[in-house]
Amino acid sequence: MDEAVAEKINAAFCEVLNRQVFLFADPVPQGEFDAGEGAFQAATIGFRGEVEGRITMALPDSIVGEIAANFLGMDADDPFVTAKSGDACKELLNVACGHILTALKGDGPVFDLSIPELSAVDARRVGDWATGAGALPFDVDGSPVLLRIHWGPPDPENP
Amino acid sequence: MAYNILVVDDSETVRAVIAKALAISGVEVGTLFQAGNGVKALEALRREWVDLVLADINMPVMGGVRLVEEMKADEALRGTPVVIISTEGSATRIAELREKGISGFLRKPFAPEELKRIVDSLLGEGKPHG
Repeated sequence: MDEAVAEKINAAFCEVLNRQVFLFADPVPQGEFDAGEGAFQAATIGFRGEVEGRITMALPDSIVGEIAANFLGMDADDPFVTAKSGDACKELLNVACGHILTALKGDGPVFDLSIPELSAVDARRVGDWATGAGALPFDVDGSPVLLRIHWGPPDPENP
Repeated sequence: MAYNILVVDDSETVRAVIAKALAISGVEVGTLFQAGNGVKALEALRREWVDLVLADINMPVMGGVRLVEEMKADEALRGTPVVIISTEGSATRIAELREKGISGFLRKPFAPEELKRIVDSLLGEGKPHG
């Protein structure tokens, strides 16, 4: 990925993470990303406008509860937080996607965003994603988090 | 004075966040109604007295833009202010929304104070007189 593009995406994502869920994210060099061994939640959202594509955000299960709790402003052990943790991840990506597109294309173009989707993935798959061209790895308060940008229409061979 | 507010978003999580932001901000809420899409919002608006609508754009069944259009086409609802709360960052889209008649726009993520400022400007102390 072009370095200037990656810097804009990194800055937008880190700011949203900090403002929305009060977590600090640091970009990690692609070769140094270690997904570990735990399970991940992968939220994906599509965008269509001046450019088309989709963004996937992979979060380890170990941080999902904290993100949901901070997003909702509630205790992590609150049953509502537990029940809505996936929803919080999807909404976080929705917000991040809007800010990433503005960072890349300015406030002129209009983009239509899809309804975000969530799926469970294992660490090995996230590790594979991290070696791809559209991967942007982060350290979020000690946890491995990955953004994966795909430019162009959906590819059924590479979901 | 307490206001009846309708929050329209397909995410129950976001509706909870907005409800929490209203509580933190000090906005006096009478009844907080909730709807998961524009169709449900119109049903609530035709059934209940609502002072202000806070709506997302991107929702299944009926999104926020269509909701605003439907409200403006309905004599009984066109005077109810609508504030769009969205991730949208396009000035072009926001200008389009203002042309359609929205009263305010708030970009996510937002602070409770920003929400209060908008509510006050439309309903409370900051509301223009005359």
